[in-house]
Amino acid sequence: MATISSLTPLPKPEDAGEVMAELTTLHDQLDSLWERYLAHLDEYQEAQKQIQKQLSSGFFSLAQANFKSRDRGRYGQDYYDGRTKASRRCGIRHNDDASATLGVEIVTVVVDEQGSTTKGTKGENDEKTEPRQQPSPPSTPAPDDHAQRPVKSDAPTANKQNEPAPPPQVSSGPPRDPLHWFGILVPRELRSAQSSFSCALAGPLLDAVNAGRALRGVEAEIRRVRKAVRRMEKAAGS
Amino acid sequence: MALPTSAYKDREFLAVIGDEDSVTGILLAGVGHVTDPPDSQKNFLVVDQKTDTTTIEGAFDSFTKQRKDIAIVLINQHIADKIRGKVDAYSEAFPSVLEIPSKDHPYDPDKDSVMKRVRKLFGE
Repeated sequence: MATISSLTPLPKPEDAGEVMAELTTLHDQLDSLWERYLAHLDEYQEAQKQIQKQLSSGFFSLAQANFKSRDRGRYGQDYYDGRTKASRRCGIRHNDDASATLGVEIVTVVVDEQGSTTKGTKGENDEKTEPRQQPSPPSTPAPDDHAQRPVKSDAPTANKQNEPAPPPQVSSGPPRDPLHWFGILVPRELRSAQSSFSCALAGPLLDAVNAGRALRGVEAEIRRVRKAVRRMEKAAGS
Repeated sequence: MALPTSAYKDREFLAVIGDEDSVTGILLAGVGHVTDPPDSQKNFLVVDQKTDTTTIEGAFDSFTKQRKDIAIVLINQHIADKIRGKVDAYSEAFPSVLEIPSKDHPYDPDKDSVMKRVRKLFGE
């Protein structure tokens, strides 16, 4: 009867040494991955604390504004602009490390006098052009905007006077400050709420999103290395 | 594995699913966007007591699967609890989903899907 030792060849000393060296490398890799993971976890938890703080401040200011304007109604969805355009958008960029995950940053959209939009990044590492101040819209429309276009000579003359004026060309103008949805004169508390939410958006909210993305990335690597360690340990054990 | 540029090149908006105060606050920051007609799709959903779960699920699916211009989805944690299965099962790279506190419901790390994944990894 064949014994187990004759069926499965024992690993040679140098093979066993290589396996152990490989295992040690994998364990070191796992340790450094856990370090990164814990660092990102700390970032995420810290960001969530800051979000709680900033949003609480924003909610408090909003509640104060609502309390002061009880007669006109809440500052809420009844005043939302149904044609609003985002003035703050995400700009996704690669990090310096080629293998790292993508990051997001808030980009402010600015419209210049010609109506073309440019995007400027706001952040610590901003190297692009700074956002320019939005031009204030004209107080009254120019009289030529509503003038009728010249009618073609071959058009039927009986309908000329009845034809409605062609609609003025409408272009999606610069993004409007959402504060203006609620009127010209808004309470100081509403501006304070806007400031709190804007700070939360540009700071801890983005930090939490990026930390969450980094956690997912490192988690996948940890699982992969763990699998490799288990395989190697099995090979070393046999 | 590196993501192809096509997975995120058009993603520029934040979406928010929350109660009225949360959505008002986030919109005050300049995030609100309605696409041009005829679609006129909003990137926000105000949830109140009358909003049913299917509407919330529909908005979540719209922001995370159907629309390709959303980079981040912000959702109040107490609203995420109503569609907890969907939120916990969500694992795509884009858009990123973040649970945020509301005025009446502070952040609870035990319910956060990110923290659940952390605990699961520690426990393995």
